[in-house]
Amino acid sequence: MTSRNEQPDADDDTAAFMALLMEHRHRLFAFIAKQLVNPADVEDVFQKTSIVLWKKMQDFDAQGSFFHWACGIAFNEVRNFLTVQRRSRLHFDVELVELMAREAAEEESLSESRLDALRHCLRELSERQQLILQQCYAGTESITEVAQQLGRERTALYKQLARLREKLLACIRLRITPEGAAS
Amino acid sequence: MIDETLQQSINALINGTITEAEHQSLQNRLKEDPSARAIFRERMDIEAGLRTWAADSGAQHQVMASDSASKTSLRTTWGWPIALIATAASILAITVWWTQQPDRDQLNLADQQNKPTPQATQPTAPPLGRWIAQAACVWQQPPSLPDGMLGAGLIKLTSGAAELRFDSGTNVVLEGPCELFVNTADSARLLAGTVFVNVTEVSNGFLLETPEAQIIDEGTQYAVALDSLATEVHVFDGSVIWTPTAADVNFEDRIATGEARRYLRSEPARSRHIPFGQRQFVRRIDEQVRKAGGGELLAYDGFENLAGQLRRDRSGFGWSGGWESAGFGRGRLAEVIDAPPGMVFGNDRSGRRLLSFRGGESLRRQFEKPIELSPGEIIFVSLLISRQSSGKRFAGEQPSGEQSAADSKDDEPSGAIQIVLEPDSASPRFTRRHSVSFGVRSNQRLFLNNSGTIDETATSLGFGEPHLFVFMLKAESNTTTANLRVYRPNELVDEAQPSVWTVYGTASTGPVKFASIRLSLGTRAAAQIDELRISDSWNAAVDLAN
Repeated sequence: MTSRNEQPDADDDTAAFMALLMEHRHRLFAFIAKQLVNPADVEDVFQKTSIVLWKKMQDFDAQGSFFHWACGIAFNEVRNFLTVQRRSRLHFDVELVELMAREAAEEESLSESRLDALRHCLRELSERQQLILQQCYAGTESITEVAQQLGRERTALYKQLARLREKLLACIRLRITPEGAAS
Repeated sequence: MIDETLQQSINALINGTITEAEHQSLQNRLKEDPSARAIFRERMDIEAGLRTWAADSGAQHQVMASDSASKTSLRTTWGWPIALIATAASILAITVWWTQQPDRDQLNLADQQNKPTPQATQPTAPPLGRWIAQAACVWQQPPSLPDGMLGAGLIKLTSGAAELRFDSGTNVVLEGPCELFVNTADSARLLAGTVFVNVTEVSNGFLLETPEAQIIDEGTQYAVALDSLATEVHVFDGSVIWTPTAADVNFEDRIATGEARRYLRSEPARSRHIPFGQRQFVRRIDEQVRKAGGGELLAYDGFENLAGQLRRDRSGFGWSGGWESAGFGRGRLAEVIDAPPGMVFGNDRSGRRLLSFRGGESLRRQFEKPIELSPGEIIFVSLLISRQSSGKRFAGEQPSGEQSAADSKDDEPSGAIQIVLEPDSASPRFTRRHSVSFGVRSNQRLFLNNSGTIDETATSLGFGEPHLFVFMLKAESNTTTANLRVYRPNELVDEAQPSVWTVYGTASTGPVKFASIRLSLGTRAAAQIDELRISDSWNAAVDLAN
């Protein structure tokens, strides 16, 4: 006979939180990326943000926007990160980070549309092109290592990546509303 | 600064090659120019999207190389999913700890946060099980933990089928499109789509929730299909209890073997009997392999057997029962164990099971019906064999009767592996004399034995790595011919029947009707065997993707 869950409230909370986090993770990651750029920094702050979101979940108004609430917490984490890490890498100053965060949060739906469109556009690439992007963006190998595996010059790989991004960008702009495209 | 310069600066920033002066210039431009910021945000959406897509793709192993060079360069990438799932694991760990405290007010999360090592990179919650999937699966959100491990969280399967194997002993097959939230090792919530639940004999039960009800098993196999209007429950074995979750509803419905019910989402306390058996469910990954084989697979065993009970007919299809000892007694059979994580011939075997075979063991499995070849017809037998380091006879073990005889006959310390197609005959002597077999002799030579006509090829097969063996037997008007092709690890597998074989057999007047297959190991051999296929087409024999 099935053993029933002995902690339904806590499990429900966890499940609800994880569902929200999973649903918004791509946009939240992009929100942080617009302020920090460097992928390793973005992942660090994303992780810390996720923990803080969970700890503060009881403060979240279920009627409100999870994304905007999460952006507020993520922004604080970005600032904390920059306070500690500022000297280790070139980062934007606080004024620009605040500006970027505000504008990024305001264009939530546009960002979501872009991310959705990107996934569609990626499917239109050949398997080979997808493989190259996957290897370069997975973060486990440097561009130099990927270039060596593919038997290409590093600069040639950079050029191919640039062409693929241009192709994706054109595809994304076609898929989303005209006002969504950056001029 | 023209836009090309802006793009170059953004590229340099992303690539980490920007100089301090360029950085300052870019920062000034972004502060002053809203259109530059719009371009920057657009570009960063793409960068972030590619990062998360690449991580997801790594988790799904969706992107397959189109040539052998790129196949060998494929790597499993987990950076971003690990970050998220590690976070989830930390959260779950905190939750478990929190819910077990006598006084929640005493909780000091700050202490958790201030540990020297960040929680997020040290997952403390154990995985809940493993998962496997068709290679052709399309995921919106895979159950992404490394090495096919299953964690708590939302799973969204767009198409294909995947099987979640909970450590609690319950297997859940998702049929895309499907959304399932995994709660614990013995509970999950179905949000949309179809699942098949197999609560095995080693499980203490499984709680499946839908938005309107709980389904509690009583040792069973059942399927649930949930759409926007209604929920259907079909019970194949045992029984389940349907209980609406609304507080003001006092209703309980028991559904027994061979019954099916439909509940409107708006009326979960009102059941409607519907015909059982009219709806098809993906009950096992095996079924997907069968479908992918397009009817060309005559028998298959991927050894996807959670409980490892070889004697029961629990894995594969095309058989009349489970594996049995081909020796004189009912001694131990080989073990079914977890396959090592990683790629095999371009396909992910993480989370799968395989047969671990040790010295002196011999197994036989009967086909569902004898396989008979008419003139001009071909049969293929393929399997993955990973030879383990040359073994010793295990303490207290005796070789099987047939193997013992073979050892003494060969008069050599046998490290041999034999795969034998046995003719449809009631006479053991006829069966022994007229079997068709292939494999590796202990002297490393590959061999074919076509009803007593033996051909060999000298080769050296490494240990510890899976090789793909593909055996072909063709019936002519009065004779049969046999060939063997062995592919080394990561060697490109021919898309069509090869023109060059590893071992060419001599024609013989052998049997054309086979009742069973036997796997035998010499007393000093050890091997892992997987993906046994008997088919009448090359494609179905070598299609490991499913």
